[in-house]
Amino acid sequence: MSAIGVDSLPIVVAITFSTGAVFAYYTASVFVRFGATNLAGGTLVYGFLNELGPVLAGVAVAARSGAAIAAEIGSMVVTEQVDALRAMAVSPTRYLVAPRLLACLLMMPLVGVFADLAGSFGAYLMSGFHGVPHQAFLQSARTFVGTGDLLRGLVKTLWFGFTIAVVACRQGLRTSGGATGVGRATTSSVVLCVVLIFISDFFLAQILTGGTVGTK
Amino acid sequence: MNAKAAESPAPHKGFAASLVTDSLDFVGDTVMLAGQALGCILRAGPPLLKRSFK
Repeated sequence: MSAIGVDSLPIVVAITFSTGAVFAYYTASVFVRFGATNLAGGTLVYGFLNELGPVLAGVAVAARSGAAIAAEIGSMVVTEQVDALRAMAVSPTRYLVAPRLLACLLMMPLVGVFADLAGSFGAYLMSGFHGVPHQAFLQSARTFVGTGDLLRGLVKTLWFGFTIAVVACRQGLRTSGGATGVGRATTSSVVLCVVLIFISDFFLAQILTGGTVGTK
Repeated sequence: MNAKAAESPAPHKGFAASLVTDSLDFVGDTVMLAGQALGCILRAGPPLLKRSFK
């Protein structure tokens, strides 16, 4: 749990903060130009809670912890430690996969909350630099964003955590071919996790909003 | 005979065929692993929680 959640936090916070700031850098100036500063906060925070926060957290955890899981299990497979577990009648799924899956399921929503906070804070700061009044930003965010948006994001992070753990463990357990195989398993784990996160995000967005986007 | 069989190249699979079989293999494996792991968690969880909060 520490490796997946706490150790990933600095990366997740750095990525989401800078993405929030860049997102605000491009959009805030447009809002100011069209005199719609009262919409900036709502748009940016809504986008972060529903979409950018969960997806960026998922990609960061897949790249960091998913790769570590695949490499760890993969090296255990090629050094026949997994075979030794089987020989001692210990199920590798129970001993290796279940704890990692549980850790991902518990920690991903927490990482997602930090991603939402860091991204929204980055957007808030950058909007202020580009002429969006702080009060207008906060008022707009309060008007447009509700608890449902936060919960939708958290459901997404839960699914992404499940995907990362299962895919990384599967790629690790299917490793063959020595050190090269471990490298291959790690790469394929990260690629598959990221692709599955983006594809499942599209379907989750449709399912969770039920076709009514933008209603609080 | 066996040595000959080991040396002969694997039958060539088309790109689409290998993509489909690999995807099915991946999906099957992943679903089975997820089911087993969730089963382990659900079986081991309640007794562990009961012991922790005793």
